[in-house]
Amino acid sequence: MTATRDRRWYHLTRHFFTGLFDLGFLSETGAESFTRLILGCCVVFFSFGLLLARIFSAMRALLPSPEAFRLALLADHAFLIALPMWIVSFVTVLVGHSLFPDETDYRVLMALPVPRHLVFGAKLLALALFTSLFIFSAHVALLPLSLLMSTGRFAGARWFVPFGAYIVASLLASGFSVIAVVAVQGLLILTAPPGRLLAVSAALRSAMLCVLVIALPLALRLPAQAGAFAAGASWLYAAPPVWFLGVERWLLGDVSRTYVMPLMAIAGAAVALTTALAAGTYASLYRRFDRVLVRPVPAGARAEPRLAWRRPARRARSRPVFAAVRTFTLLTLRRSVLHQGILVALSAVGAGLVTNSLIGAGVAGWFAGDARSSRALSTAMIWAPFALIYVASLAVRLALAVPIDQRANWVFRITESDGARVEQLAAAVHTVRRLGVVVPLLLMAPLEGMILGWGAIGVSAVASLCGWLLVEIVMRHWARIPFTCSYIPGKGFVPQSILIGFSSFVFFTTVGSGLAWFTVLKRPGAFVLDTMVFAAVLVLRRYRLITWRGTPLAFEDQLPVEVNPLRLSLD
Amino acid sequence: MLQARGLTRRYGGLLALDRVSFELHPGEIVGYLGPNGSGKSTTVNLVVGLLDPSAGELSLNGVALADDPVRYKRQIGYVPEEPFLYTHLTAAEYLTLVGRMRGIDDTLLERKVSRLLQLFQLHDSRYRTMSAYSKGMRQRVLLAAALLHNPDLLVLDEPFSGLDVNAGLLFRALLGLLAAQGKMVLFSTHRFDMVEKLCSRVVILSAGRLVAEQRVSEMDRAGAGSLEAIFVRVTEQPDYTPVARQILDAIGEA
Repeated sequence: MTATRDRRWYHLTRHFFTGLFDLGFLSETGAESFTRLILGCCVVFFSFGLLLARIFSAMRALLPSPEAFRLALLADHAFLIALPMWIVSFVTVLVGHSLFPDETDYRVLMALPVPRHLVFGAKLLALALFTSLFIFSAHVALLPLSLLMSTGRFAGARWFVPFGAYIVASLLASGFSVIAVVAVQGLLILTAPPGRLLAVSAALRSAMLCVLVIALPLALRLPAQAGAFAAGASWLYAAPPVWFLGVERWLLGDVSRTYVMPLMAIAGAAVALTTALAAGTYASLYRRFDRVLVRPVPAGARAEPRLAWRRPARRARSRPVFAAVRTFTLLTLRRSVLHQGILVALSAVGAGLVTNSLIGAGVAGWFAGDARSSRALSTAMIWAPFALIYVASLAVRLALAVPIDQRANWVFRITESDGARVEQLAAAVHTVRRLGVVVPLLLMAPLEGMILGWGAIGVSAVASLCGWLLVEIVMRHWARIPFTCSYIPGKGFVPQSILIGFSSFVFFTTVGSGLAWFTVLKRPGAFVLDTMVFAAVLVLRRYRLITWRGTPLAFEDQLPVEVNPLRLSLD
Repeated sequence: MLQARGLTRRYGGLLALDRVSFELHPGEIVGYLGPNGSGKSTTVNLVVGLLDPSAGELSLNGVALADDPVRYKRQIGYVPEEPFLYTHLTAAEYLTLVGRMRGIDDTLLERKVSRLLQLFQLHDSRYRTMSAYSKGMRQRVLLAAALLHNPDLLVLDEPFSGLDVNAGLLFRALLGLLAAQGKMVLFSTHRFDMVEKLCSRVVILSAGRLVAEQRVSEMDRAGAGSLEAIFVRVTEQPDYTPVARQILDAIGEA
């Protein structure tokens, strides 16, 4: 009996652990394909990592003195601490819905003769195992790079001592990032108003993903910040990875720089505070499991939502099917954690690239009144809307492709018709155009206006034209009502897809921003080029509408046919 | 009138439905019975146009599904067996979505949605997403969505599951009135009591074939016995008492 009871720990932990990998929104084929996609990405990143190691190796050879090496080591270690922290935080935010026992666990497990401490303990253990897996993998993957950074002609024979200190500090930093996410999520569960928990949780996770993605390019700039470490720049105190660099220096007894002890103190306080918060929220939920997680929503307590259809617009009255799909799309993007997460996280990649580019071009100096970098800044500013539009359009398209409650799509299948299909699909294109082109342009407009002056109008006009063209290209084979079709990620050869994506990004942003320059500078031929883009938009739009009339709606995603006939015979 | 002629459906090599033919006349409520795996859900999916038949044809009021699927489907309201809904929407949002997909004018739709929510006792919960609804509430939303466009044929797949007593009584009364108005109701269920109380005719399937079709009022006169007895006989159900005994033995095993 005791052995059976002991195995309950094992079974429950395993249940929670496997649940953390659950991709419920994907079909079986989709989940298999997703695994292939992840493996493909790993291969690409590993290759990129080898390239990175060679670049670092070459840079190290150029260092002139031991002091330069020490400063470079500080910057490199800050980067090496930041990367695993970022990976682990990202993964923890992604599984944010599973960090605490939820209502399903309560209803299913509390009805069984299972003590509460077993449920909470198993959940914590599963979470610890899950995050440890990523912490361990991230550090193993970075091991060649970190070894390369720690050795070198100025490192000395005892290079392994700072390397060991780095490993300890980095593990602590990664653990801190997990605990911080748990603490934030726990506070939310305890404090969110009844009935709003899901919506607030979705918004918070999207915001955290957004912050993380925007922070990634900043983390990638850390190896180039040796100068900031030499000068003890004030931003060091605001960068969590650098706090743990303070811990590393303290472990090594190197407290000669003035900022080491304050950084160490901040790291200690942050770890203590987040651990206390995480433990407190877990303890509170443990004591009030039934009341906190199963809170009834008071009937009629919520105010009438401001919905698009509460005020039937003229357009909605004349195009009810279009209005139905558009509203359904917007509501789903607003309420679904998954879809909002995809949209925000991917769009944040664009925001991160733009932020990085503007910082690199000296936007901070420009705000401080330094006009020297205005030429580089103008270039970056003209490039920015194109980068944002490219990433946001693809993000919206991907978010619309991932299904929600796929078995509920019968309501669309029984109302499908040739006439309605064009309207249904047009609503999807409309959404991509609005969220992928118009919103980025509106977000960029104030900064563009400040930096480019009246030229911003020309840049925005060209960017909207190019954005429209991009939407027509990416939506030319679109044949699904948003969120209603199964989704198989990574259908193509992953490295090839990444290469195509990267090349098309470079092409779109380079050609687009070049065209914008031409237009702003009123170069001869710019108007002709703009007209040609507009003509291409019209041709593609016409092609899309003709294709839609003859193509049935897709409700099941298909893998590409594996055999492509060469059709060499004449018949 | 709904006419099904020689409906056949194969899933790969498996014959799920084998040349099933039946008719449904205005004002009729037909009970569609059969054990699990007999082809009931396949028939329902074919009738509402969610599946294409491998052979056979369907027509409703002279409109063939194969010729004009849009006009055919426009005349049908459907309540599926499982309450598959977009649960991130509220009931009002879902009904508006369905109404717009059915091409109902927005002003009329708003009025209808509001009244139906009141009448189906969903008004108090109208601003809550359906993820917080009970199964019975979701079932009521589905029925309201099926009736929104005033269809000629109502196809109900186990509509009483999850409904409380009051909602069940309302449902029964509503179906009776719809039939009196000349609407057709195809009612797939496992509940013999409901079929006996509600239906004018019963169609029984077994292993993909139609094995019995009879008017409910004629069952006693023909001396066939209760509906349950007829069902057990025509679908060749075995005596389950030995299995029940084996279950008892299994759970009592130390």
